[in-house]
Amino acid sequence: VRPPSALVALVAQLALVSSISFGGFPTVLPDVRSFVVLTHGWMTDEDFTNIFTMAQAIPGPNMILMMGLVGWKVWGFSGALAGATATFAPPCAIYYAAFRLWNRFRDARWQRSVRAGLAPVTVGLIMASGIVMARAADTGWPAGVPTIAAAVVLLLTRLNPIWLLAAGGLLGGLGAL
Amino acid sequence: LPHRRRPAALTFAGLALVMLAFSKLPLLAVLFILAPSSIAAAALFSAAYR
Repeated sequence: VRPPSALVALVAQLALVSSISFGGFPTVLPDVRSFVVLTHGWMTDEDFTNIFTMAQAIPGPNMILMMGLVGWKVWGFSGALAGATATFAPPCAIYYAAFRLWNRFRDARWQRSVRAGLAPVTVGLIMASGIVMARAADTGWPAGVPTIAAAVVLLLTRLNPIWLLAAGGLLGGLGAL
Repeated sequence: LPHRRRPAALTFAGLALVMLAFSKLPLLAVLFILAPSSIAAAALFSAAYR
């Protein structure tokens, strides 16, 4: 059983990163992984990627679900509730408070610059998140090949990702990964 | 992809990728460095195009 300070630290970290999650919560996954796996050792890379995969495979708000599962792993049911709440409550509060101001100046030149400036940074953060998660999940080249293949297929075609998930699951089920 | 014709946008996307995935800098540091400079670059380029 971990001390209550572990739960407080997790909630504080999730609240902080969710408040700066430009482009959605996936952009802060490298930071969350670093915090729970490398800094505190609350779970292994395998645990983290398993939770990520489980959350991605289930419909709905998957990052809230994922952080709920991370919280569960750290501090049980209370950790799950606290983790999920810390993921959605701070950004919701910020958006609610900032929306009127943001909307009032929606045609302002400075706001166009802010949007045009933040968009590429966000794209880079999302790609970085993908690389960090792939590194954590892929323990060798047999697992790396499907990752690269999935990225190439999604970039070049309009195939529904569910087929790639099914193919990955099939390969894993057959013991090929 | 919508930003592929903006060299400054590609540069900032690449920097964000490298700083977070390979240099392993904390997200806060990456954002504090890149967000203001990317916004400033976007403002400068939009002023130059006008």
